[in-house]
Amino acid sequence: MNKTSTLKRKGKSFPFLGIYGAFVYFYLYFPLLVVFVYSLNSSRSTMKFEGVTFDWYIRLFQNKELLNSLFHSLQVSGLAVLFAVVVGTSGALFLNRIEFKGKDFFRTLAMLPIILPGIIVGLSLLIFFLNLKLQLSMWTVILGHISFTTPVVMFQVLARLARLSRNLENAAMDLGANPFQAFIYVTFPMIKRAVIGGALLAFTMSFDEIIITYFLTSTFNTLPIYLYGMLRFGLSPEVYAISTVVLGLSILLIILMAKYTGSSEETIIIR
Amino acid sequence: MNNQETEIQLIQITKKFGNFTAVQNVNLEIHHGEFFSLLGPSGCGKTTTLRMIAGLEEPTEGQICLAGEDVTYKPAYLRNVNTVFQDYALFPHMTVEENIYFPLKMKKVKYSSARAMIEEALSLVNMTGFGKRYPQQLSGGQRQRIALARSLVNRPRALLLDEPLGALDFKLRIAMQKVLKDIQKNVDITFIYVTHDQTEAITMSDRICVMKDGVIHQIGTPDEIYNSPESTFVASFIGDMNFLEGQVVQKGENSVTIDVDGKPIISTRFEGTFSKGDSVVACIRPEKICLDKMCDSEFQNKFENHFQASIHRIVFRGTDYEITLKFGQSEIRLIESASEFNNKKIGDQLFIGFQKDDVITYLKECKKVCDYETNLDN
Repeated sequence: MNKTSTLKRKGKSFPFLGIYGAFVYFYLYFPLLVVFVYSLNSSRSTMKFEGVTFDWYIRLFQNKELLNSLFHSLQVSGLAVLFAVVVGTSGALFLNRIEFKGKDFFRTLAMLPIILPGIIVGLSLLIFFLNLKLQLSMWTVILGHISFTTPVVMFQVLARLARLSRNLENAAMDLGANPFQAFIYVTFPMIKRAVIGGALLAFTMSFDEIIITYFLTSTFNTLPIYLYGMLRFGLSPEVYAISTVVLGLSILLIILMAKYTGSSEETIIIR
Repeated sequence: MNNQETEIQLIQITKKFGNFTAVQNVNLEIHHGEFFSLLGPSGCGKTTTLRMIAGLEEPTEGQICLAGEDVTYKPAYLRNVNTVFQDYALFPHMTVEENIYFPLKMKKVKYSSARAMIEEALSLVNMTGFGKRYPQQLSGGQRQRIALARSLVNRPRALLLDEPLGALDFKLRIAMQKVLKDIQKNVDITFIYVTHDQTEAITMSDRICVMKDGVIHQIGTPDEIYNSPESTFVASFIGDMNFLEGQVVQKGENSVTIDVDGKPIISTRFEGTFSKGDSVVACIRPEKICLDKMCDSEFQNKFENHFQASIHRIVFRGTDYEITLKFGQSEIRLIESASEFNNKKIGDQLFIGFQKDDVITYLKECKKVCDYETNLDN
């Protein structure tokens, strides 16, 4: 009680806080706004705005290579997330239920792919695959993505499980449900939102991943890789247009994710 | 209680968690239709014992029999006993009705034929009409009732209750005690009730098992437990008790005389054998002690033990007064009703009297004494 009232008083005596906050948001979102506005520019110039057009968007959909890379991205992210949901959820159940020596160490190890810089993960995986004499392909890219999508889902589900009373599952079994039925009827409905939320977050991360993909791909292009390639020919309204599309898609996923994970306490902030 | 067939039997049950022994050599026989309480302070192993009966925990050693069948290693979902958990464990994503339907669904009962049973279970706990609500929309007492209905709907052989009233406030707890007792009479199902609340155990149970540190201290009816505690721990844990420490000065066949701070106290009930000079603890319930201004012959005839002491402390408790008197270094507490209180004051010299049959004497072993001292601290 006391604390909140002090905070309130502080808020009143510092009107700058609001301005400061607005500035932070401006700094974060103004560049995105610029990208969006110039994606509608009818001139090729990236400096002058000469009129509104949707040409660039139409051109995007006529660009075979771009559409191909978009499809590749969806394929990679989709499969990596599918794997992450199955393995990550079972991993979370395992870490929640089973006690073993070195559990904390294991947990930290599982977290590493998210924390380590992509360049380290990408490089080590590349060396690993080359030693295994694996051809670089879509599959190596997917394996690379799995390394970070799995822990993302796992830690989302683990956070949910930690807040769940074990008694719910005990009660289910006590009332005659075998372990499988207890999972299907009781445990899974309770962690469903965390699984979906984790999957959406993992998808967002995987969809715009570039560094690990760059290390593990040969001729296989995902959307971020293709975009990066486009940039070598300079900034163009086309790049702005595709960026806007990706941005819109990401925002949509994040809104969905926020909806599914519900209150913020369930979401571990990973990024 | 007329039916004495054994419902649940625990034979030499021991449960260890790593190096910690939660339950040690427990032997229990619970009869059909009995209201049986496991009573003890937290960490005494009562919940672990219950979970082993439910099948949620496997004993390290020993055997559990349910209606004559060995179920020691049978998983919980194959045992015909249900548990009411302390936190109710209602499934939050299901309505009240779906919660109660759950055990029937697991038994492959169709919803259409389960409807009547669900309604019956709801009316049993007086919650008719709440079927469509979610657990979050109910109060603590209501959730409690739903948990009860869910556990009773498939008519288990025994219902296990793990401190089910622990989370409720005082008045609701008293009301729910009555509800539970009535339901138990109605359904004729064995209830095993875990609690740390001695009043609850005494008012509700047919028999009580008092546990401490994983060991059974005493099993008996509430009357036996209250009036003939077999150890100082049971004596201190159940009800209020005075502990007077002294030495044996005379040991007769049926009585023993103890010197407590210079006052001779005669006791006719004692646990164990002891001889002259032994350190002992004499126990006497506060409500068995009388207080008088005079020590006339009538008073002396009625109470074999009588001596003078001075009032040290008076606590008003609403319906009565708790008076603490001091003699030498010893203190003795007694209860006097408000009508008899008569404006007594601190420092008054009065006579206390109690009968020799109301004094129970125990040998003062270090461990047992520690038992009741730690308990008094609580």
